[in-house]
Amino acid sequence: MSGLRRALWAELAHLARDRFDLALLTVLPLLCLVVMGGMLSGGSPKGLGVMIVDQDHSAASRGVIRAIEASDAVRVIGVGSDLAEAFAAVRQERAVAVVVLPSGLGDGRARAVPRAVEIFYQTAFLSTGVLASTRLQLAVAAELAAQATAQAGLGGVRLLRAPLPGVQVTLLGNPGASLEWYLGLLIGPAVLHLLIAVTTAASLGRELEDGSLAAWARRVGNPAAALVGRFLPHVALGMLWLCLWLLWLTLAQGYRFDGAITLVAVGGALLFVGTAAVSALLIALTGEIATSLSASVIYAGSALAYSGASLPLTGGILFARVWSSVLPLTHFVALEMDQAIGVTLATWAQQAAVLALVPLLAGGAALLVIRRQARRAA
Amino acid sequence: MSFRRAFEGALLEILRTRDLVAVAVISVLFYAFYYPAPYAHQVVERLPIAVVDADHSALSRGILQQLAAAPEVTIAAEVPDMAAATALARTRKVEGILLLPQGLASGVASARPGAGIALWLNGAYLLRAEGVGKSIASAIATVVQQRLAGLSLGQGVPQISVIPRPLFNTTEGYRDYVFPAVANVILEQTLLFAVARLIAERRRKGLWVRGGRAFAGVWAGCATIGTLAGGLYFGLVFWVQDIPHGGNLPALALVVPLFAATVSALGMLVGSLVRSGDDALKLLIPTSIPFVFLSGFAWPLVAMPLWVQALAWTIPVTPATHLFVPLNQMGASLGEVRGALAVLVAQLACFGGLAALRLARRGAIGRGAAV
Repeated sequence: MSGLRRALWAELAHLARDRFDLALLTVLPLLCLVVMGGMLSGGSPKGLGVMIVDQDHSAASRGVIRAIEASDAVRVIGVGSDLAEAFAAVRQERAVAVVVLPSGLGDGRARAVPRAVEIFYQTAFLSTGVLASTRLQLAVAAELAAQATAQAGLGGVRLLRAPLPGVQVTLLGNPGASLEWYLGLLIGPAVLHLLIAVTTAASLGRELEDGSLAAWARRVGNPAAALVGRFLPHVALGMLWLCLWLLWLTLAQGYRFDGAITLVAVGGALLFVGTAAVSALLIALTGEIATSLSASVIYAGSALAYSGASLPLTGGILFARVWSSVLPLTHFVALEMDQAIGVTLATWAQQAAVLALVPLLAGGAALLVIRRQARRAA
Repeated sequence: MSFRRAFEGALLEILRTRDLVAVAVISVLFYAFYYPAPYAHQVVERLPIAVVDADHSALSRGILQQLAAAPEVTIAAEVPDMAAATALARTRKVEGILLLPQGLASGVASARPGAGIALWLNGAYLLRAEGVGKSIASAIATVVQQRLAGLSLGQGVPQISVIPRPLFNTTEGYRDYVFPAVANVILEQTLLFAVARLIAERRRKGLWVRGGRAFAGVWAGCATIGTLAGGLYFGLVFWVQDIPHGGNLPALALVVPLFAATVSALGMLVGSLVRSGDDALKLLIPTSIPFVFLSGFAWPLVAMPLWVQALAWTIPVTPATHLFVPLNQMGASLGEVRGALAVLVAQLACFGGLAALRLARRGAIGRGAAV
């Protein structure tokens, strides 16, 4: 039996024997993905609370309130005239925004100081606040324009500026501007990346003796084949969960990659092989499971922040840009997002090649360290 | 064992054991600077876009000049047609395409509909696309309004504008948004890892001593470490990083120890259920990312199905996020966050009671425990 097959069977036998370790690769990812999927399943957030401060009490202000109530992204939770009370609702997190309708909104007279409808929105939870603010701006502006047109027809007074040329914005790869699709593409792979980092480090860590893999390396003969065999079940299960996640997003939730989902899956395989190789390097270098797991949570647990998926790192500090380019998840996210918009095969191949460097470099370094430990111990 | 001996023993073990000090102290210090680093520049900068100027008018040149001055985007290429621009997008040389169509200037001058400008952005990266989209639209609106003013269109008539005003994080900076929320997860997870590992290792080695006073002493020791970490973040780290902070210090002084005690109780409970310290880490580390999102900072809690909301509220970081962010960033009063506070207190009672059942009762039998 080859070293690879021996290591594979030994790992499978361990997983069959150790229900805790098996649950880490089966029950835990299932729970994490079901909960994350459940969280996103409602589609883009709806019913975000809005307080209205109506200082006009006119037909025009009531029209604006009705227009806001018609938007399903937001929900009017109260109409009053006290700004302090409205801001308290924001601090209590009952409301994410306050719309102030000024007095004189509906009288149609020109004034020295132009009146303004103010939309105060909380930005401590930025994504929610910006979403509410955008929807409110659209609803209020559309209603004011409609009222102005009606008044212009009646009184011949133009209330609004001349129409601007519209800017037609198209979002490639996410035509519905779905927060669910965007976060779904990020959360599933990030959760699995961290999970595989933990399970592979813990798996190889079982072979440590006095902080060294020397005895294990001598026993297996060919450490490279033994590493591949040992990590194969982890990578395969990681792939299985990733594919199920992507299929849920596409088949069940109806989103689609403009490129090829299979190319994303290939990228996922490279990500998990790279993750396993980094785990091998961490265990070989630290000689401790706990320290390796701590290092894993640092590099894989915050890899999403460094991937540039929310805030691009152009303009970021040098350390962040360099570290981001070293982390495997950065390149997987780029590869995956590229398939969302459908890039050329050559661009995919470039990203895949960069991703493939991780297992080659980290795995190569791990083998060098392990062989040196074995030589010293001999 | 006396309360005091148990308290000192727990503190000293956390500070003297390499694995524990690495997680409970060094990681906390490290994350304070490591996590905010990719968000340090706060806003989108220099995102490359391609421009197709088919109008070649003073107006289209004005728009391009305005865009060149906008920090959010950089014009990476001006190409003659959409085919060339699309090729750049498909090879990821640019993140967006702006088309200024032929007849734009005359369309604006005559207020003719259909003179539309088109903008394509990479929507897979939704948050940045929305930000950049707004910035480009605003640059265009500025130039067009100036142009209209020059043409005496729209002058002399009253205007009702709609003005968005951000509250609390007034620059809408990413670091000021992400880090105060993720800091709660960092504080929770590092303390959970350390406490669960401490208890699990003591049980594995047969060193756990049962009894109410010993249990309370260890619990207080762990909560002290958590309280100091919370104080460090909300005091020094937020100040050094210039993150909005200190909105309601007296309330924070009350709530931080409650949070630390709740997380410590959960850590003790987990530590009483697993075989070893390594198993505690293996179980808890992968929950870190789901906990970040369940706290409701990126995806609002009200948009989650009820069963997910219910689950989220059983994790200490969820009430913590909805206590610490309002208290620190929004200057909320304790009364205004009473709902989240009640949940945290309920968790404290629940986790504390369960942990005591597992670890304090003298007759209780736990696998691997010294009874």
